[in-house]
Amino acid sequence: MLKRSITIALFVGLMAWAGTAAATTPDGASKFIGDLSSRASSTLNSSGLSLNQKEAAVRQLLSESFDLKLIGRFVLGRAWKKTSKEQRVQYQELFEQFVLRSYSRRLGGYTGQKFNVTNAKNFGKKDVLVTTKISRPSGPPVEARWRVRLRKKGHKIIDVMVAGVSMVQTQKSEFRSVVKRQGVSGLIETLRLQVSKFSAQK
Amino acid sequence: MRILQNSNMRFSLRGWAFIAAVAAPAILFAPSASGAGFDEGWRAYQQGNFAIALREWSALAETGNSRAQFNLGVMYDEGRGVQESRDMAIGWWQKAAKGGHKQALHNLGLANLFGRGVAKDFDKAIGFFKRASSRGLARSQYNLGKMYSVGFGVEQDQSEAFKWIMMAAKSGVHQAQYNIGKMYRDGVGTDADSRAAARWFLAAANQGYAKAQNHIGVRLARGDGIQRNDVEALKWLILAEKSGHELASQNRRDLALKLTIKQRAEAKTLAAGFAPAK
Repeated sequence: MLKRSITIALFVGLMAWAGTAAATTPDGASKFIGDLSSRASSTLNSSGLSLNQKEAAVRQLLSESFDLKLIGRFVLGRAWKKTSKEQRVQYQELFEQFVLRSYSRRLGGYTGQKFNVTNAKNFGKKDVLVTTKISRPSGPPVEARWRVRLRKKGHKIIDVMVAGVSMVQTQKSEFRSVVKRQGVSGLIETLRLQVSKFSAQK
Repeated sequence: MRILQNSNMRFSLRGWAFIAAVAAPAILFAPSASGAGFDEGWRAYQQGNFAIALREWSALAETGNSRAQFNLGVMYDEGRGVQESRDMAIGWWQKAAKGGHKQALHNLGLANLFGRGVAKDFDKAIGFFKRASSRGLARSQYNLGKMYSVGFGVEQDQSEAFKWIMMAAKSGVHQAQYNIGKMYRDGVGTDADSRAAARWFLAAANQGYAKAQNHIGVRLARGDGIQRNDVEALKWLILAEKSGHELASQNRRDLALKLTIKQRAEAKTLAAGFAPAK
């Protein structure tokens, strides 16, 4: 009986520890987003880098900061369970390319913007929602909220929200619609075709 | 099977308000520069001086320069220094396509396939990809091959798929080489041929494609379609594992258990010296 109680106590303690380790704090998440913002600003405002180099650097930064595997799996929703191992590998590879390409192209050429962390609060049991104000040389400032989770490899962004619109939820809805009509293979092919588009050529 | 026929596919990033908001375009009114031309526009574009790029390329585009017309289309498509406009993008790409610009033909193929800026038209999409392919654009060749392979917007036809993917493979597209390897392995669109399969897997592996490195590693270990060579096999599996290929990790561990310390060290050295073929 005593042995069993000790085991239970150890188990509960371990879970409590694991819970603490798995959750981030508003300070920790703010620092993560603040550091990321500084690195992004430094890259985007560097006069020594070409547009292609800036985009590649932003792509790398985003790749390190977003948990794209987790996001990719989430946005596929219930269809994930019906996909084969090979399809999952293909899908994740293309989803990452799709997201990174979209963001880096849009952000890479943009100079002069400043990011400020304005707020951070707990979101659910494991996450923190960090609010940033992005000021630009022209146009009104933009408020973006970043959902941050502490993963095995450190802090990761698992969603971005602007004007209450969640990137992940929006993408999930669009993917669901494609999967409904064409299946997962149709979605994979759609992603592959989308990333084949050419950008400016020398 | 024709997956997309008559479907109303809507697939866009429109909901990613973050992107649009953060990257809201602003024309940067830069001081006037004389001379210039396409290269001046390119330099300005790479420096993020989109107003200069726009001015230089617009002037050239009006004279019928298809490269400038294509790049202007991209600027409107991506909202670089101008308000994003699919209509304008399509308009400039159509002009560039008339001059035979391959990438313009390819992007028009995509626009027609997804109904972005134009009415969805699969036949037109295929037509644009074929025109770009006939001008040697490997990416269009590969697109056509994959579309025929899964019946995406066209009737599924594995022989056609093999024909187009083979063209792209010969142009050096590593995914196409890998896919041709699989088609030879499985006898899809062509007769099964394990030697040809191994040859194409090896070609893609040499370009650093992890999936192909895993495949050729396994084949070398078995002597399947290629002379058995355990050290080479381990080398490819080490490389595939290093690129994050999960299955390769297990394959690498299984093979390493069967080899001597010397063989393992040799494979490790070979892997360390590997440089992807260009």
